[in-house]
Amino acid sequence: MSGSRMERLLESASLERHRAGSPYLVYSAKDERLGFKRREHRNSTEEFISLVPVPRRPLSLSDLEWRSMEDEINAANFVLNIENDIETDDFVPYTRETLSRATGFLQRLMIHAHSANLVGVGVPRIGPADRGSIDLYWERSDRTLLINFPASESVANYYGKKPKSEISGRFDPSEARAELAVWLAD
Amino acid sequence: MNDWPVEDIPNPDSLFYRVPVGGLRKDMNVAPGVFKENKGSISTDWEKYSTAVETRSRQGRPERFAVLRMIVGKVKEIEELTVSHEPVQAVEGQPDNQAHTSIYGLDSQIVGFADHGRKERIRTELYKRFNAWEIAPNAPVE
Repeated sequence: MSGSRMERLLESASLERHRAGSPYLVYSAKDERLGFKRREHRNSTEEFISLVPVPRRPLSLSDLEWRSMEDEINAANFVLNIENDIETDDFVPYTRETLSRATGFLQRLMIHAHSANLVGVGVPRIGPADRGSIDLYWERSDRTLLINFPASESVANYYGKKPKSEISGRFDPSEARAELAVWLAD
Repeated sequence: MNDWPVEDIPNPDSLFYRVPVGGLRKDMNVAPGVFKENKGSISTDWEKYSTAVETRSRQGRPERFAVLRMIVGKVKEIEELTVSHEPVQAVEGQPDNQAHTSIYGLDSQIVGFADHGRKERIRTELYKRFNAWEIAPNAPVE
């Protein structure tokens, strides 16, 4: 691997770590103009990288919202372990496919919202509903939105309510549904 | 043979609804997803003939369940939901239960454009009215 490619990978990984909370950033030696010293190997003039502490960038509201969403998605894996231990007649197992439809939709919705500078969409609670379906439920001071992802079909049904506004319907969850992000955030 | 008469349930009365703890989120809070039909209705017990503790124990191993209290009048406020006292007696495979009461209307047989979101609306309304445990998950068994 070339030195410059390695350098780019290290910088990229470093940025990822920094976004994840690391107080360190890797800078390449070519940033001498920024005050970092070039270190030279005895047998070559190959450039090396320097690890330097930098002040942590304060997290933006969208960063915080994204992190909170990721935490909720990770926590939602518990639904895959739910069993029919009370012998319910209508029980349908919760599958990774159904959960992925729900969480994938949520990620697309959040990406769309943040790219449109819509912060404050909020993070829904992810939970099990009937017959193997999965719920996303937003509950805020003056509004609620419940989206259900059935186990058997690639659709989602939703109902939302806020002062002077009710919405409901069905959609293909592979779409981002920008109007729901706007409805939640406005 | 059922010797127990079907009675009208007054609006201020309570119904107890048994919720399996195994299907709850780790925070153990009530969620819209707890409201679900089994065999065509939401199955509950009328407080006239059952306590919350008895409802929790009715299926055995009560530690597996939490219990919600639902006020009849508030259930009937929700469009399309009805409450029907349906005592169970001498039915094969089911224990006798004079308190048994069904809530109908969450699932609809009619599926059309106007129905999309209907069930989510009803579950939202149920959750708004009934979101505190009468017997919490992991409460000691009496």
